[in-house]
Order: sequence, then C-alpha cells, then structure tokens
Amino acid sequence: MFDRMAKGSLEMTEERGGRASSGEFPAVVMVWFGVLLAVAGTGFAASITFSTALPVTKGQGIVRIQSKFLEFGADSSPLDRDLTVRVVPVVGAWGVTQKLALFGIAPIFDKNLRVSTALGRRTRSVSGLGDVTVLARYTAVQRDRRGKTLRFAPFLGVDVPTGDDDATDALGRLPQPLQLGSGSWDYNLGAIVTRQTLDWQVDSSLSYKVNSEANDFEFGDEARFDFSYQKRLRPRELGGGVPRFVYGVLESNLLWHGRNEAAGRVDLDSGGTTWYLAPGIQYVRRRLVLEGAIQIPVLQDLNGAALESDFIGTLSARANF
Amino acid sequence: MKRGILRNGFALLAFAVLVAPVPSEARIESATVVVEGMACPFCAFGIEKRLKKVGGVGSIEVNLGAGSAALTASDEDSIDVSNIPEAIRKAGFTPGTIEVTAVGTISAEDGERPLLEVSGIDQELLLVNLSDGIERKSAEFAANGVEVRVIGVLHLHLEELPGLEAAKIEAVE
Repeated sequence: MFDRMAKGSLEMTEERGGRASSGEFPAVVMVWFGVLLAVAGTGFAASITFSTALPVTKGQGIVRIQSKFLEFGADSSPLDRDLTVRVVPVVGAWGVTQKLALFGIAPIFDKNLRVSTALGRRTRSVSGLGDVTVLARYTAVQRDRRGKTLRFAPFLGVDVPTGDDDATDALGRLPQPLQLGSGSWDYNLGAIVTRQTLDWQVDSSLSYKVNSEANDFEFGDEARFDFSYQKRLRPRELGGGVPRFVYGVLESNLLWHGRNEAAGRVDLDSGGTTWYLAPGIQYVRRRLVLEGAIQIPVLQDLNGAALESDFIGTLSARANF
Repeated sequence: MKRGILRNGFALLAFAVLVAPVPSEARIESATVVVEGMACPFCAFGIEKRLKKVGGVGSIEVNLGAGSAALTASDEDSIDVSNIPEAIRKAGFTPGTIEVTAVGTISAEDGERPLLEVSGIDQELLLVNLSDGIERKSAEFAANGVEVRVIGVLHLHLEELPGLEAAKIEAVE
C-alpha cells in the first residue's frame, strides 16, 4: 500500500513537470483490507485484521462497521509527503447455506495527501465510496468436537469499480492511486484455516489478489500471509450460560505488492514487502463484538522511494441479526 | 402352576420389551443437545436462532462451557426432536448426543406394538437398549397404563421411528 501512496506522488510530480519519483497510493489496498476485515466478522471471536474460516449461520446476517486510520510519512524526498487515510468499511454478511457465506464490503474513504511545493504546503483530498467487494466463502473442511472446531475455507471475490476513478481538484485530475476507485475489476482468492477452542483461537490465511488495468494504469498484484492468536482473558473459568468473553489478540500480517504499470511501463519504484505485528483486544457478547488493534510495521522492504507506513489503527463493531 | 405361568408370561413380556423396541407416542418436555464446535459467545446466537424454529420449542438455554443447548417445550407442546440435528447443522455446527425427557403412556396390547397416546400430539418413540431394571418397569407401566416420564438419549438413525435409550423411567405424579 505504501508504494501506492508514493505512486500518487509520482503522478503529482509529473503533473508539475518534475522528475518521476516512485511509489503509489494505498487506495486499492484499503479496499483489500476492507475485504479481509469483512470476512473476519462471521459470528465468532475472529481475527481483527484478516479473515476467519468460521461460518455464518444459514439465514443469519452480520453487519460489521470498522473505523481504520492509516498514516504514512518519513518521506526523504523534497516533496515531504504526508498521507492520512480514514476508511470505514461497511460489511454485510449472509449465510446462504450452512457452508456458503456471501459478503459485501463497501469502503468509505477520506484521504488527505500533503506535499511541499514552491507555493507552500498543499493538500489534495478526496472522500466517498470506494470500490465495492463481493466475496463468497465456502467451508470445505469442518472438524467439530465439544468445545472446539477446526475449519478450512477457500474464498473467491471480485472488486467492482464503483468508486470514482476520475476525481479532480484545483490542481487537476487526482493521481490514479489517490482516486476512490481503481476503475478496474480486480479478483482475489485465498484460503483460511481456523482452530478454535473455548480458551484460544488461531487463524491463518493465505491470499492473492490479481489487479487489472484501467485508466492506463495497473496496480501490481498483491499477496499476503496472516496469522492471529486470540487468548481468552475473561472469564478465567467458565460457569453456566453464555458469559461475555474478553480476548487478548496478537496478529501478524505479511504483505507483498508487485510493481505497478503506468502507460505500459513498469514502475521500478513501486511494490515491496511489509510485515506488521498487531496487538489488540476483543470484547465478545452473544450479539455484539467490539474490538481494536494497532498494526505496527516491524519490517518494510519497499522498492524505491515509497512512503513508509507509520501505523494502522482499527476500531470495529459487529452485530448479529 | 398358575403362578408359574404368570411369572413366565411376565418374563416373556419383559423380554419382548427389551428385544423388540417399544414404540410410543409421547410429549417431549425438554431436550438437551450437545453442539460440537461451539466455542465462543458469538456462536450461541446463531444456534439459538435456528433452534427456536424447531417445532414446540418455548425456550432455549445455551451452556457454552458444557457445549450444549437445553430446549424446553412451550405449554402443552411437544418438541419436534427430529428437526434438532438439522437446525444445528444449519447453524454451522455438528449435532451430538440429544437427551430428552418424554411423557406418555407405554401400552402393549395383544400382539401389537405398545403405543403411548397423548391427545393432540403425534410423535412416537421406540424404547431401545433398555437395562433390566428399566425393562421391568416399562413392562409394569405398560400393563397398568400408567403415565410415565422417560429420560434418555435419543437415536434418530433407526429405520423406523426415533429411538429412546431410556436411562430413567418413573410414573408421572
């Protein structure tokens, strides 16, 4: 995502007649985060930053609303770029059958990119609906025992280009990576393994996203490996009924992004690898889950001069109906 | 001589109860089903939602630590236990043992299968795998037409009717 942010700078630089720098803006990746977060809310104490294999009950609906705050900076170039993104992925999930669940994710963005120019500090902003993701997940393997379960679920999804991909401001057309939508139909697939007991839960996910071309621009493909460990902190002992749980959470997100292509040319300064660690906490009731996590980048091996991630903060609420 | 014939006849009847399952029609007051795979509070809602759709269910109490859900029949209704496993599956979990409490009268007419009749309710159970003590009590209650309460594990995979492996049987006061 960080190289996408820098890609935004690239286009801005080009618009001003400067030398093309590197990078990209995390617009599309924001949507991807939305996808993964959406699948996580499936009626269970699930991972916070990615998906779980646990099911959505047939005929059951789940709504998940998150608020994510992303900040990027540490720009060594004269532009001194500084990016903040707020995104609210609104997620709906529905259990079609006992094994098949459908998800719809509508991310709402507010992006602000600040750069230094000869005329002083300037901000380019955009807000609104991004690309909507539709995703299907099938629980292919299910091993249940009393108080524990093991699930494996592949998923397949598509990003529908519903977000505005031709927004402009006083400086002209916004860079493609800063747009709300990619303008392209993008596809993602992956698989999730979840092991859940009454005391702890582990989720592990491997996924890949194929980005396609639009507006003479193509984001690089994306791959990620995620891992989450959730430990029940409260109550220490289980009595009768359905007590409220508090989980301590530690998650790991390893993300790889391929290089972008603009006007048929590979951007050598885009793409790279980032590894996050994310401590978090969850409060789980029968019909409601409240949770929060902070993703801290512990490794950033980015191509070229892409902006680095400072952190990603997430607050989330899920409800059954 | 006459006493011997009676004793032998009672023994044969008891044997028949043990070997040939005893069908009965009963009101099922309550059922407790093991829900395999249920491991967090958020799971419980979907399970409750599906179990509420089972016929005759008045209330549900999920016990997360025990991994079970206890169903109680609404007034005068009988829980349609045959739909419990499918409800659990639709919730995304695996049904385990179902223990029920059923009320009815075990009857054993000449050459016909004993039948328990409760007005307005059409649900029949076969009493299977009875211990010697339960078998004797069943025969006595059948002979006397006494209304009984039976607690036991349900078996839904028999060829004919659902089976009930009675662990306790007593006359209804």
